[in-house]
Amino acid sequence: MKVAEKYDDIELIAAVNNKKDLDKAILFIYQQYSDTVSSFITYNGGSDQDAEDIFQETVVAFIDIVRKGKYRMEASVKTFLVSIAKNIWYNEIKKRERSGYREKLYETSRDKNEQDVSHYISNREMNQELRGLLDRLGESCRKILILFYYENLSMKEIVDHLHYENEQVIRNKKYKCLQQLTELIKENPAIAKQINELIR
Amino acid sequence: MPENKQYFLIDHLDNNLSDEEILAAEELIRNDKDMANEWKLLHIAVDTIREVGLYEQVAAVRKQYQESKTAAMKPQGAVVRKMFSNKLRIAASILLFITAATLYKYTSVNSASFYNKYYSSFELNTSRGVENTNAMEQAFRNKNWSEVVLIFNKSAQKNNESYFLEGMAQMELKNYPTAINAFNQVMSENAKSKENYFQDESEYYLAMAYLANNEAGKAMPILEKIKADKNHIYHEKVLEISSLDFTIMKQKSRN
Repeated sequence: MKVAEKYDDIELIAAVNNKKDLDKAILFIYQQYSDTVSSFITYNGGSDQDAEDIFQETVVAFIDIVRKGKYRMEASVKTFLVSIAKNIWYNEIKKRERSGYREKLYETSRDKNEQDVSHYISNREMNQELRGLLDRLGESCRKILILFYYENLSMKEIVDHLHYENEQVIRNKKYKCLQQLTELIKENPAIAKQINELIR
Repeated sequence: MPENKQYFLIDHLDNNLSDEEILAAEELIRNDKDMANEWKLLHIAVDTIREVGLYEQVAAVRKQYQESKTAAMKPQGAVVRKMFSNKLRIAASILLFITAATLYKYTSVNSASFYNKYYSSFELNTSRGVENTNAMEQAFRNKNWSEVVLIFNKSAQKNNESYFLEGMAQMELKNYPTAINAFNQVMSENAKSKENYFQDESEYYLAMAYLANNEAGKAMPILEKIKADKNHIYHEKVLEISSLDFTIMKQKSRN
């Protein structure tokens, strides 16, 4: 197995914040912490697949929290990741209507860190719904929007990447794609309600 | 909402507006509730896109991690290249084992170990004694080695048997140089008398005495001679010596 870069917590946060080092940082997180988190998930009733999925959600949430400057390093990265994973797993259990099991676990396991993390990831369920909306746009829209807003590619680079005729074609398509996405958000009542509460 | 207004907000979001246009866009967002909501929705949409991008990046690394982890756990030999590699590993292991074993064998075989492995005490044949050595024979059979030596030293009439038994007693007492002298004496007497009385026994145990005395260079030619001589009474005994041990000792005796 390829060995990831070695990071201490401070270096890892720096790598997470640096786009070109992000792959290495994610691989390091997997190599260092996935077994710990997976053990927790499987010990608490999750399958191996649950453990893998929850850890992926955990890593995404962690990077998001770090990039938004909300991780203050009051707890180690390991502790913080485990806390995020616990919260995501408890929410997943709740979603699966196993609340009795969840409450039992929650009462015996939660601590200060988890409460803080719980606040950080309170919108993750809605975010999952939103991610699903992007899939409904179609592959070309999805690619253009991700290349532009996530990869930060220029219109010219996107033209080269996706083999469109010219930049204007891409620009027009991007307008329409983003517009479609906002329409889908507005059309989804559950999401719209949560968003209205958030933006009120 | 007019499409041009929404595109205007998207351009604002993408930082594609001039300074004047930025001021106009900010004023629009401040004064138009629909535009304000649209502005917030655009931010949510872009946040979603960025999260999906991040999700995909993490998923790609997850896949890479799991594939490498699976590959690391997969039993060797599933791929032809790995089978070849396995064969090499097995061959290397065997070679390493043989090398280690040979090295161990080479270093462990020496005069002392050779002597300890192949030396066995001489058993006196009851029909072979002569009258004037009865006391000596009796002491020998009783394994009273000091008594054997004492009787030999007191004996005025020495013969090949007494020399030989004295040599064997010295061997048992670990006085190897004295034993060597005794066996050489037997062969010297035989050379003079043209007889072979206790010749074969003395040759074989002389070789053993040399080994015990760490003189493999003198021992091995004798053993080689016995090995080549089918009529030698210790021929079969020498043949029992492992060929590898024999070869190693021959090699070492030449160094």
